[in-house]
Amino acid sequence: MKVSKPFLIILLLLLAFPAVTYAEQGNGNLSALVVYSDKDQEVNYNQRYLDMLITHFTTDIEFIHESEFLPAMLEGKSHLFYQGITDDSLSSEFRDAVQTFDGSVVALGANVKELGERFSFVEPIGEVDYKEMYLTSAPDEKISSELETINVKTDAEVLAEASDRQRNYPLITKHEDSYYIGNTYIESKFSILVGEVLHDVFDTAHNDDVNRGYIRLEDVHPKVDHERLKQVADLLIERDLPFMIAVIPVYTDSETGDKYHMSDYPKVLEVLEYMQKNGGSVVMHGYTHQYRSSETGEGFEFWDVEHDSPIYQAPDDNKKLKKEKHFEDPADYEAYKQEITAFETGYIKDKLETGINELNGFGLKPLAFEAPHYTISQNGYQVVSGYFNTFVGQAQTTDDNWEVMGAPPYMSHPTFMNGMTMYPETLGFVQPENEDAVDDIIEKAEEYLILRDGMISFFYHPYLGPERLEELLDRFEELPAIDWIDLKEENTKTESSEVVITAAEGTVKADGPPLSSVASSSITFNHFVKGMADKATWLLVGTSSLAVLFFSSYTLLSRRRTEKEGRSEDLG
Amino acid sequence: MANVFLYTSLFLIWFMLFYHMFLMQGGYIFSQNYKKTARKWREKPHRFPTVSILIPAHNEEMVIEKTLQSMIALEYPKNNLEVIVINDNSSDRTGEILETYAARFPFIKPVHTSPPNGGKGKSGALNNGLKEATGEMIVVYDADNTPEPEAIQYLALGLENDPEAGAVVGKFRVTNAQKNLLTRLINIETITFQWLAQAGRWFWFRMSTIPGTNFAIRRSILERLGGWDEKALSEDTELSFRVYELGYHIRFFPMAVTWEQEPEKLKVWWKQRTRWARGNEYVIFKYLFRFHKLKRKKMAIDLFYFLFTYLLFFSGILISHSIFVLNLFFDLNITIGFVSYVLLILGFLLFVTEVTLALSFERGQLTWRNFFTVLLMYITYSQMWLVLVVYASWLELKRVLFKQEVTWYKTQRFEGESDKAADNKAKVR
Repeated sequence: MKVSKPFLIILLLLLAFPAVTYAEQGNGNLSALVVYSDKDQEVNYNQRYLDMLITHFTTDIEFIHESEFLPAMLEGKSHLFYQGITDDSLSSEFRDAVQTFDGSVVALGANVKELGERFSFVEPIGEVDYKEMYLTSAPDEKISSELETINVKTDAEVLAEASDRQRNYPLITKHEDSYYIGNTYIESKFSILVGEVLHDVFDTAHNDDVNRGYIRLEDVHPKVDHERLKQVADLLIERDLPFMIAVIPVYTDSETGDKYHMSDYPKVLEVLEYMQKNGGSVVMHGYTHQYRSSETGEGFEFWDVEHDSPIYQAPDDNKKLKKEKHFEDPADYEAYKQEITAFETGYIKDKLETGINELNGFGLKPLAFEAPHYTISQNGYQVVSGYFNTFVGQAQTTDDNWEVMGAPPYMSHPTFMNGMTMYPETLGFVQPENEDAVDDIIEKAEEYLILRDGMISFFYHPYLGPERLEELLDRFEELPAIDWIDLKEENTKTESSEVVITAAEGTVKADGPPLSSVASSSITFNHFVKGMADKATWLLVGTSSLAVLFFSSYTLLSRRRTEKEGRSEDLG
Repeated sequence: MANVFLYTSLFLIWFMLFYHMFLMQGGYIFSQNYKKTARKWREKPHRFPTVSILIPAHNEEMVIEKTLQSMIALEYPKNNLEVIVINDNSSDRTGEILETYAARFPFIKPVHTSPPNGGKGKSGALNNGLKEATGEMIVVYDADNTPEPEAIQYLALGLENDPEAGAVVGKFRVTNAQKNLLTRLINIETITFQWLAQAGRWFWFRMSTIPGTNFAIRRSILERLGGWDEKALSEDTELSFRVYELGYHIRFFPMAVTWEQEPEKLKVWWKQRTRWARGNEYVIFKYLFRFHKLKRKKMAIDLFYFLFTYLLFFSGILISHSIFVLNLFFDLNITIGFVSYVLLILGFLLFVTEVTLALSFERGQLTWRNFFTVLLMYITYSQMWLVLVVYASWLELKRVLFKQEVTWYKTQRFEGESDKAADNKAKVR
């Protein structure tokens, strides 16, 4: 069961401006510069949230702290974003650049007064609490969200409003090609409105009628109840819904430390193969979904929760990790960081390599990756991108705190994911103890449907059995039709040293030396041999049954003949 | 781990069963056609080559007379026939009876031997007989055999019509099949052995094994081979291999029939079979290690078959039996499941159908009584073979390790009757 994913933090921002596009309708060269005022010089989670929103439109994006801004950085940019996280005075170079920049400018949060004439269309007048928000173009489609925002006085066009159910406040305002987004703290749902407005900012319509979405069956490890898994799968198969299966190849018993592989539970494997054949796509959900001694599905695999750090040491080590202050010479600290990062890289590579080969060796084709508990470091994304081009779930956005994570409201290509396509999970999951879980998901889905290409995605634990999923699916049928994603149609690519698995147009291809995945570990090899042996035994059954049949009929024929010959000999 | 053993044993066993299926199929086809061949050969003009029949006899007073009478009854031109009975160091009335007959029938020629030249075993006796033999064709009978009158004629036809045949092997049948359960089982076994292994191998590979009795071999070949190997533990399997090595095949021709008695007591059976098993093991190791030197690689089929029977198939059965028993007491985490029961049943059905098919080729053998004996055979007689192989292998091992001399001449007598059985029938199954 997944602990926390949503604890989102806050995004600030949104803005947008042009560069190269990833958008379906490429309109010119969209290229964005993000200038931010934040406590760190380095890019942190605030910028990464913005990254996830902007890379829905373009991956040509650069980040620069306001203090390091140079006007030359705007050369060739189509869009300028200013993200004001901390209160700060801005340099005159930047202020001047904002005035003269001839593309769209989007400002978020603090310091709007510092942005000069171009943003004089808003005047901040203190913070207000609100309970819901909506696009002014669709005031009835409200999104509930208890946050605060900077209230502004403005005569400009208001694109989105917040309301405390008594008064309304402008949330997103626009004057010509300048946008102001007053919310300093952007929680994931606010991104729905921001995301919608960004389509205007980037002048990219994305007018598909149908929202995309996905259903993911979560934490399917070797010891799941195969009957329930099958029931849940059949429910989806009967309704002809494609789905994802988040598979954990190895189950670790936290008490005994015993490890169980899919080959130890052939029934589960059989169901998985059946699911894969009937609309299911395998998503590799880690290799063991645990680190140190925790139980599979409960533990973290790519995060050391005890130290709240990336995996910088072997599970049985428990050293205190050193901080910068422990080093006199910064060069020593750098060397230390490189060393522990190299350890992490090796650790993750090993898990991914083994996991992909093992799944493939069992005939399961992982088309995407989902980090256990959505936790993984920034370096982790780099490593994963060497194996997968498709990432499912939410994104941890800082290496300082695993709880800082979130997802964009639509698909995107976050730059920190190094080229992977992100299929965000937006709606959460059916929590067994929450009786209103289905209502909650549907309510949230309605909110994401406000966004023209908002993602409608959730996950479900098969151990719950099919009932609640059925209820949920029934409720979804009352909503506008959703295009449920089939990863096999999505041009995914998964690559280990033994195999390259690609999916396109509904077919999955695995290229690699024959049997190399099978031979990559004794577990898959034994399983393969057993499978062949099993087939061979049935071949024996078939052939020998025929032989029994033939010999019996020969016997009857031969006996008749022998007795006939005998009689004629007697006579003759 | 148990699974690995189980599958290994399963495939070893089933490899053997498939080979038997294959042989049985050949045996069936052959059984439907050999009479036509015989008729064709009989109908066309042919000559009667000179034949020397060799009968080694060591203390055979109980049976020799009957054997000699069957020789007299042979339908073969007597001027082309000589019957050389080697009275090998007998201490009973064998020699006396022999002389009586020799006096009356000139084509019966007694050879009396005594140490140091005689009394050295069957091979020695045969070699002594061979020295006296003048025929182009040498035929061997055990002293307790009563061949059917046409037997020699058919053996001669086989050699005459098949220049590539170095030897022709006839069929033997059991006279005392109805005596008790043991002889009934042996009877079923010998019929199956001959139709499955002998006829099947002949059909597919032009191979069959020379038994101790009722076969004809060209004298020229025996001379090239220097007679019988007096050191070989089972002189006839050994002889077969040497005939192949010269490039000849050995024809199975069941038109030539002889009748013989089989052991009526388990103890006797046990001794006889132990000897065969040891003999075959001897041959395996003798030829396995010089296989690269052999000119005719065809022997690999038989060598491999023996190797399989005595080593691999046998191990397979032992392992699978052990797993079965162990699994009753411990959870071996066997994953094979349902299919193993199906295979168990099919293995049994194959056995039953193969044996009944072989019985159906012999008139009057496919009876309900025999059918039920077959069912019983699977769980009794066939299983005894396991213990036997263990025992024989142990004796062979001891012989090799301690360089023991083997001494045997023939199976012990009982009830005043010969229990001599045809030597060197390879074990069926």
